[in-house]
Amino acid sequence: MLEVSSLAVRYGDVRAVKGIDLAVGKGEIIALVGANGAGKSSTLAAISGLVPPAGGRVRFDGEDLAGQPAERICRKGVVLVPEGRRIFANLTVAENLRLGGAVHHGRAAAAELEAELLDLFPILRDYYRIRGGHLSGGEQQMLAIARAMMSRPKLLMLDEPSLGLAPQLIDRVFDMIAALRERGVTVLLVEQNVALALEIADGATVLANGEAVLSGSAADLAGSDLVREAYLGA
Amino acid sequence: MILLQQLINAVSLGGVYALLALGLAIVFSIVGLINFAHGELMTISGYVLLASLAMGVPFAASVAVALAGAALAAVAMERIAFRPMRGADVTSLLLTSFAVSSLLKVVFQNGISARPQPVSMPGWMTSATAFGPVTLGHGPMLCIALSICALIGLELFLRYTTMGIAMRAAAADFDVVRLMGISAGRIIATAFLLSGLLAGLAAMLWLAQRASVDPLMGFTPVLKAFIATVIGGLGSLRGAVLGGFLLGVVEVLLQALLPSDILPYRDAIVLSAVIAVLMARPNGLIPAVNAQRS
Repeated sequence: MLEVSSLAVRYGDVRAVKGIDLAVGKGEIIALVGANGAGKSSTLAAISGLVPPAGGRVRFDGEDLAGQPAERICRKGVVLVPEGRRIFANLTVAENLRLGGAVHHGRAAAAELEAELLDLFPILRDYYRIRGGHLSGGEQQMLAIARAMMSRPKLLMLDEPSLGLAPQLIDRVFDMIAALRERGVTVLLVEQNVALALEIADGATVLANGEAVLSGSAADLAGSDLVREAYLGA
Repeated sequence: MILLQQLINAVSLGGVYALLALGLAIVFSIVGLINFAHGELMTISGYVLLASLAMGVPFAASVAVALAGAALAAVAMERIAFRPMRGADVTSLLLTSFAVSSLLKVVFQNGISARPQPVSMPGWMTSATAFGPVTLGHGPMLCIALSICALIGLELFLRYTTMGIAMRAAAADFDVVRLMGISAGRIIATAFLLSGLLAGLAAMLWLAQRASVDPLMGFTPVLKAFIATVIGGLGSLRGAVLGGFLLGVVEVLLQALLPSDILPYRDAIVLSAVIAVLMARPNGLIPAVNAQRS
């Protein structure tokens, strides 16, 4: 479904991503793991079009997305939930969700999808008319995911969904991600918490210093010495 | 009774400042541009009205044409001058808008005339009605009514339409709005369209009480509107409206109440008050949601 080849990202003289390859198949959850500054978020930013790639290809359903503007990439079905959630704090939950579904016309279909998502994230129904800024971190993460789901993504990219959340909330967010997979959504997950990511993912790629150092099935990586020593603390 | 008449005048001037300040604030909140050519949008609208009336178009239709002219001019300004500068820093954008403003002024002076051109407004607009002991001018009352209608209309647009919600969101986090698949170009064009429409309306209300157009027509009111946006909080829409009304009211009331030997210092007094407000509240009376741009 998504095939990234030799993707490079540069900020001035800094080469944040130095030509990585990555593949995500339909219905899979693929994790992109690694330490802080390894280039995970830059990779997602380049795929989503927020940052123009310095080189490489991003093929999605056979079409090269590299260099296209973010708004067009979203309409193709590749949607990013950015790091730090970035919900619109000055807008209500309802307004946040409405913007998420703005690309699709047809009020009835949007209302139906919204009702389904509110069933999946009941807390958002309780806070429907409340401003996003008043929600807790975990609730904001739910809102950010639901907002992205409103655009009916084929591929959902999640950047550090566990960041800054209490452990029991992290579990809830990851339960939600598993629930999304059951709805047929393909997920590319960036996560610093490697153990957690490997638990939920089908496959994973390990990034270090902007390069892909290891790639394989989640089970293989969880068993590999490199991952155990460097990221799982075993 | 004189005080009531002065108060009406004050609120009507405040309404014009508020419309102009709001136009500046909408554009600033979304693209970080302080548009010094905003006054020229007002002037363009005035000349379009003049031309339309000269061609024999009825007054109401001419006003509609003048409003549309200002809105289209604003969108064209963005396309031609500001879009190539997208992503540039605040100073570069500011200088670009200075250039656009100077260029248009020269075009008006050489292409039309440096002298004021009279606009024949309908008689009912410049006359007044006596309510018992109070005589109220139609111009100022119309001005207040239309300003309030425009403010309510804009509020409804920003609150209930998807584009309006997207504009409020873009003022806080433009990147994420683009991640929702909403076109950046359309949001920016809408912001300029609205600012042009508001400048056009302000021009009509300004003309209703002055009845002549000249190349520098937009300069003074927009200068005041800048001050209003700063007092209100740069980029804050509510702040711009509040700042506009406040400045208009203070100006007119000082004009009416100050003894004649202090009157020449009116602007100095107003500007000192502005400095005092900014010392107490550096981000303005109602700071914008996203202060990082300013």
